Amino acid sequence: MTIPFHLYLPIAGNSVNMLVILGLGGAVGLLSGIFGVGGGFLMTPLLIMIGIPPTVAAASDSNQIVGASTSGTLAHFRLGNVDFKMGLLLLLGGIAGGTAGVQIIKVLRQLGNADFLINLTYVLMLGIIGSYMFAESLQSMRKAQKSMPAPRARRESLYGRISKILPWQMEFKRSGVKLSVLMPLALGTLVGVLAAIMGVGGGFIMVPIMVYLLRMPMHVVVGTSLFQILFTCINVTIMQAWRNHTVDFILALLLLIGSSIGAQLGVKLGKKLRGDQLKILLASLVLVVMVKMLYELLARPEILLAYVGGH
Amino acid sequence: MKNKKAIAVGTCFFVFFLICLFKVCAAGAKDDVRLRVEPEEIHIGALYDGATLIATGIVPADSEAIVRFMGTTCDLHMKERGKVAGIMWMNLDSITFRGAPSVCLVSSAVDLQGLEANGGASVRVLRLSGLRGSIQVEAEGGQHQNAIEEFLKLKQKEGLYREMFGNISYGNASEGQKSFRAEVPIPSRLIAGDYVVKLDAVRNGEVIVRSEIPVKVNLVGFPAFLSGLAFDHSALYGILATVIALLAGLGIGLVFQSKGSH
Repeated sequence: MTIPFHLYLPIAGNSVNMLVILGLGGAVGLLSGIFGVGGGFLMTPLLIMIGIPPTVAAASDSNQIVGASTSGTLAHFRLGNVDFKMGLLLLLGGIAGGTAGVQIIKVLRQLGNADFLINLTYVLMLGIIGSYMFAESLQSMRKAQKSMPAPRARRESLYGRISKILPWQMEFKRSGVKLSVLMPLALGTLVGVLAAIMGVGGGFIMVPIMVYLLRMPMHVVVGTSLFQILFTCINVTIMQAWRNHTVDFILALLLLIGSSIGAQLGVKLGKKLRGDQLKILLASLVLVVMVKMLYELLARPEILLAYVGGH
Repeated sequence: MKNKKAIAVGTCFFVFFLICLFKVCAAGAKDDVRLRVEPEEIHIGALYDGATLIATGIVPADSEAIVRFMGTTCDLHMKERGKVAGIMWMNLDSITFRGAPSVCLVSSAVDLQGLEANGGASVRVLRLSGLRGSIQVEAEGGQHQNAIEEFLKLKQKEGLYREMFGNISYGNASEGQKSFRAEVPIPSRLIAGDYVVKLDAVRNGEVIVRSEIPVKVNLVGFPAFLSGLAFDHSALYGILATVIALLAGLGIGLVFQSKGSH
């Protein structure tokens, strides 16, 4: 007797091997748990590669991120790594930015060559963020290895001075920072705009922004990012299922089982890593995705046609 | 005398009529095809992973059977990829393919290229390349000469368009006819709807007779329930999918918490 490993996905209109989907979910969930990113920028292309239509892949992935980020947020909450106040402000900004981004993309499409601009933005964002994070983490790791002399008082940057003079300063105890409420709202809006234009959840842009612009500790960044992603993906899942009928729940559930387990392992693994180690690993991941995208832009595709939709 | 002449003429006509009838019947029997398909309905359940469709029947002994499994035609909206600024490949113009079958699986006993080389224009129409004549392309701007070629490549990569040879076997010929049996592998990437199995008997590269049988593909069991929910009650489906994902995430989180606490 053979064990049936295949399941038919009624919305995707295809049959898939359960073990492959569980494995994919586990691998991406592991990264999600370690770095606090949703993993949509990795999962969707992998699903398309195994024959899932792009629109169904993107929407079902959002559905599974709801479960994975719930599991991840819970694990980080127990470790005291979720700054709810900061997360909610970023979320409010993200919703406003996402709505604005959808309008911007409409205008860009009318002007023509929108895809060119989107792809270029993608590669540039990934390149800049990845290179900066990589260089900065490498530097801090080297410094940590050397015996450091007593720190000298550093001159505060222009950005630091501006952030201090902004109104409505608020204490974010969990993150250990004092900032104007306008900062997370504005940065959340910026990520929302970029995420809507690029068609992704925005975790991989949000994490560096939290680290470098909001100056939050890396472990709190991961938990808070997952908390924020959870709400973004709830919205996307309901809208995609309602308006476009593209959420395949069976696919999402299989991915979710794999990714929730992966996310839990990722959280445990991430706890064993130092902040700069986490940053350098995430930077490497971002740079790998950037190189892959750049290759896809420069190399002649096998088939000169593409379906409409997907990330 | 007149009566005798009339009887003779009548007899001649009658004999001539019988000869004609015999000839027509003989020719009809010779160039006749019969087609049966098993199963006539394909059920897609939760564990569906493709199926094998068996087409059997008879064709004229001196002909080749070509069996095609075809889906209904539909319009597909896609993007053409091209170079921007001379270096980068991007999705550019929108392009619509009209009248393309959702599935096209062509089976034969011998290589179709060989049959086509024998001079028949009809065989060419039965092949995947024959779809060039039936698919219409609507596109904005630019040159689109290779669009159908690329479309056929894409569909072949997806396993939905395919030419197979060697999956039809013949029985012994008798009375100018031979039986055939085709085993058509139906892909796992299949959606519910109306399909048709077409049989063409080809002699000297030309189709001499054809037949077709409809095949229905249905969703059954859990896939049918889920599909109904997703398309008929989409808002409820979206909320349920979200709530179940939330609960599953919480459940897995709690399982790990209890394991971690030991």
